[in-house]
Amino acid sequence: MASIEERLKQLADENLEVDGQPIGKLLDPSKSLFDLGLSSLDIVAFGKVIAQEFNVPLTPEKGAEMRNIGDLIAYLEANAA
Amino acid sequence: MSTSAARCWWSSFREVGSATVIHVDLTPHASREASSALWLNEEERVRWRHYPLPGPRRRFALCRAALRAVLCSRIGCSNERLSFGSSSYGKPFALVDEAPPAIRFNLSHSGKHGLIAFAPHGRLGVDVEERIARRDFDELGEAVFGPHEQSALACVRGCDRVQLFFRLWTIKEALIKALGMGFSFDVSRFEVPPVLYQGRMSIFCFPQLPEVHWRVEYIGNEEFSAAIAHELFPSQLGDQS
Ligand SMILES: CC(C)(COP(=O)(O)OP(=O)(O)OC[C@H]1O[C@@H](n2cnc3c(N)ncnc32)[C@H](O)[C@@H]1OP(=O)(O)O)[C@@H](O)C(=O)NCCC(=O)NCCS
Repeated sequence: MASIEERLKQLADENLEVDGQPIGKLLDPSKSLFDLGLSSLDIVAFGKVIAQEFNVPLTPEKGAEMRNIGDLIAYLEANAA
Repeated sequence: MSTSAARCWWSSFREVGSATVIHVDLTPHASREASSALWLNEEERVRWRHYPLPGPRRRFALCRAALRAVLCSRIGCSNERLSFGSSSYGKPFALVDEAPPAIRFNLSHSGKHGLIAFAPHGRLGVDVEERIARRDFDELGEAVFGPHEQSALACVRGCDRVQLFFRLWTIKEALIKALGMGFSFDVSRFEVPPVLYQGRMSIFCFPQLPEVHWRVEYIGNEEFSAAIAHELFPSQLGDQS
């Protein structure tokens, strides 16, 4: 079974791009999604994809509590079904 | 710090009430990017290097350098004396020799466009978005819009739908940026009234914060959607046109 980080990278490659480039390989736990150049609109949309894939509640307000991708991975590890 | 008009990548965009909005050209431009990097302080350079992709790195540097140039000229201080602090939610504010000057600002960037809004007082929020038709408008709308906003969107199709989506979104985002709380504030818990998204200017109050009035205006054009929200003092309330 792929790790949560690997699944997130794959989801990012399938759903996100910045200036025409896929960004899965740039999903570094120390960075935030804003650091990768995503807009808040992209992040809200990606939050919905993640919520569905991992079967977790993930509202924009919950996302705003997370400082970086490491926090997101920790949240998914603790809550994913 | 040379800011001669011919070399500037920012220019006056609009006067909106007592606020001024500057447009920043964020198209790729090697020499502008090199100049920008020189204007940043050490903390900003660390942040600039932290961006893994060239596009976001460029947008940050060109906007931050334009912000520095305009603030220095308005306040009358040197670039070295200017630094930035940020609130617990990340909203930046200016400091001159570690003290806040009498000027407020907010900025936004999207694709090739940046906007910076300034005013002498009152909280400010600005948002710009290049309009891109997305497949996920419906899912996004459910997450960020209230029932009346979703119904308004359901009534339009094609280009009008894209226009309305970004009109609503930029107005909402300008408001939460003015408040300063980012998405810690649930954006689906307030709705943009039709008078605001159908016209240009209106006074708005959050239902959760009825005592504070915001002057909100849609300032988009054919290239991008954009909106500005500016806190009004009670003495300014009778004076809005
Ligand atoms: C404020 C916010 C909504 C803007 O997002 P956006 O639409 O993608 O970006 P914009 O281009 O319109 O605005 C970015 C600018 O807003 C300003 N800004 C940052 N945080 C802000 C806040 N809380 N309130 C107002 N303005 C803010 C900054 O100047 C930033 O530009 P800079 O970093 O180059 O200086 C978003 O940054 C936010 O919600 N931040 C809160 C923290 C957060 O949610 N973190 C999640 C980590 S995964």
